Amino acid sequence: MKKTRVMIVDDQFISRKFFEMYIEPSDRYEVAYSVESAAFADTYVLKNNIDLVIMDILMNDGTNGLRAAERIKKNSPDTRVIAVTSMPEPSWLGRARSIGVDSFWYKEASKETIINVMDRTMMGESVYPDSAPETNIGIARSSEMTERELEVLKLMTTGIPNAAIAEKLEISENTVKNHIHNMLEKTGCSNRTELAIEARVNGIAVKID
Amino acid sequence: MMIFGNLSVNVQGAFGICTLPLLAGALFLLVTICCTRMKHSYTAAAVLVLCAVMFMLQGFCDNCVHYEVPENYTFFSAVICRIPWVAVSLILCGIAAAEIMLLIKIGKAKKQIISPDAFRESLNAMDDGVCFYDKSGQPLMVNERMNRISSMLIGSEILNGESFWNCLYAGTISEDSAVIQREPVMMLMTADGSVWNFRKNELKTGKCTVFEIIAYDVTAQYHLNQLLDEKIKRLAAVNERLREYGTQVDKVIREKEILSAKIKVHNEAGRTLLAFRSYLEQPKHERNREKLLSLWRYNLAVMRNDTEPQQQSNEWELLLDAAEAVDVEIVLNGKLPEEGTVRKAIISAVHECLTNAVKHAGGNRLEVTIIAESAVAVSITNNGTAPSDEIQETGGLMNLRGTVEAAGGSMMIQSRPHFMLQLEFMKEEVK
Repeated sequence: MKKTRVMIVDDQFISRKFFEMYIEPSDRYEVAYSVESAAFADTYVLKNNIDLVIMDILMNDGTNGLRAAERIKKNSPDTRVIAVTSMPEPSWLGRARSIGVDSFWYKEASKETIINVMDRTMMGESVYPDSAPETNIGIARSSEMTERELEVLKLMTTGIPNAAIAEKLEISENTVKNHIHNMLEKTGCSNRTELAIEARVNGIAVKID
Repeated sequence: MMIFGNLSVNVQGAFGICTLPLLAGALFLLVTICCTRMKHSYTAAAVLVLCAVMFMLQGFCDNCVHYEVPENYTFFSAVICRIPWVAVSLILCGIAAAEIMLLIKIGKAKKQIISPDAFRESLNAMDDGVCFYDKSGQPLMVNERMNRISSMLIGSEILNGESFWNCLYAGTISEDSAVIQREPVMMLMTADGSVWNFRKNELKTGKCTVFEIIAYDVTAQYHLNQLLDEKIKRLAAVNERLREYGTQVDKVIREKEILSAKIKVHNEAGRTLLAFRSYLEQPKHERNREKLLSLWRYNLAVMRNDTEPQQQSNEWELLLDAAEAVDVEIVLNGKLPEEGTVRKAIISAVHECLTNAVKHAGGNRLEVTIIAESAVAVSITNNGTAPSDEIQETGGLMNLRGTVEAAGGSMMIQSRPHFMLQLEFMKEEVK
């Protein structure tokens, strides 16, 4: 039986080896390539008949797994892509879906094994968790934040002033201040710096582009 | 009817006495109208009333003097003596009525006219300082506030308006005062901590030119601005720290991820040990040696790799690996910049050309030439089929142009006779 050719894209050596070790013993899959950057991942699928790509989202070199996934789906629509991450950043689920990523797997939080997700994906299923894993931000749960609050939080952690946040999100500066105020109240953080640190450490507000 | 001349001298004298208050009233009205600078019509009316009173009084006096010798009557007495005494009474009543009307008019006008004293009083009550002076600098009107400000700034009240202004502008002020700014508005701080905005205006009144200097108290606004500036600085510092944190925290989070993976490896090793224990506890004919061996091989392989961590490759090496994977050779003539946005832009361009060479041209060799002289010129070609039509800049090429221009460069695409992508960057942009 022809094995499914898999390309692993993950900047972390341990993670790549982990995926390889899961895949290699399988009689259904073979590792075609194991690359450490998403920068040129789309090149590999131009030839080489890659059937499935396991794409880590957050890369050390600043490249963005979701952008690479988008290019792969554009150049080779038949190649299935599974986005993987350990970050509970909620916006990535929606973004991956809109790009056309076939499945999404949380490395630590998913109850299903990666092999199960791969099997279901190759059978044509789109395997997505219902929501991002919940995590704490201060005394609040991440599910207590609204979508807009998380957008403001993500930009705030990059250190840009409120006026710049307002311009990017096309809202007023007062609205930005209100969102930050609400988040401080929900989380119990005493200032925006503390809030930003809580968010980043818990993987909530991770800006990848 | 009896004429006035036929009345007894006592009665005629009484008329004269009654005219005296009218005279006093007419004089009072004339002076008041002149002082309040009412319309000329009122002045003329007051003069007329006074003349009438004077005429009547003169007539009465002459009559009394020449009562028994009518031939010696003067013009005034002759006129009055020949008219009926009722007419004389009516004339006096008319004069009294006119005086009362003028008095009422004066009363109304006084409510609408600001006297110089009232003007001065209101200026002195102002919180701002005001100074009016003429072309030579001679002060015309200086309120108390301005004199106090002047005393604090230059040690004396304003003696010359122009000199005062020049002192403020030049900063020739007392040591415990300070010039905060000169443009666009002059702002000074006095010894008591008050902050004043000074403005000078020229007023043309038709006949002459008057200058005014106004001093506005902006102490509260100044201190609020100071507080706001401090808050903005603190916020900028916080944002800077956040940005700094942002560059560091990714490393921390990734270390967390690596640790998590290592923990998994450790757990797998633990499970394998448990599997081995189970294997040993099982009857020999039930043992699955192959499965156990595969588990051990798996764990040993992981641990072996874990002790030999690989160094992360640079972007150019990764691109070469990707090219090799699709059977394309990339030949570099020249030197790639060591780091910076230009290096990234060039690598992006090579990547884009590699994709297009494989997808559209069917080439297997990419030639990249970099010449760094006054500018950095890059050209990229492939050995595949030449484009059949003019290349349209869409998708990847459009994004590439954005990347190149953001790095301060320019991009040109040649479609005939063969494909060539040319980039140019200013030398100083290259780091």
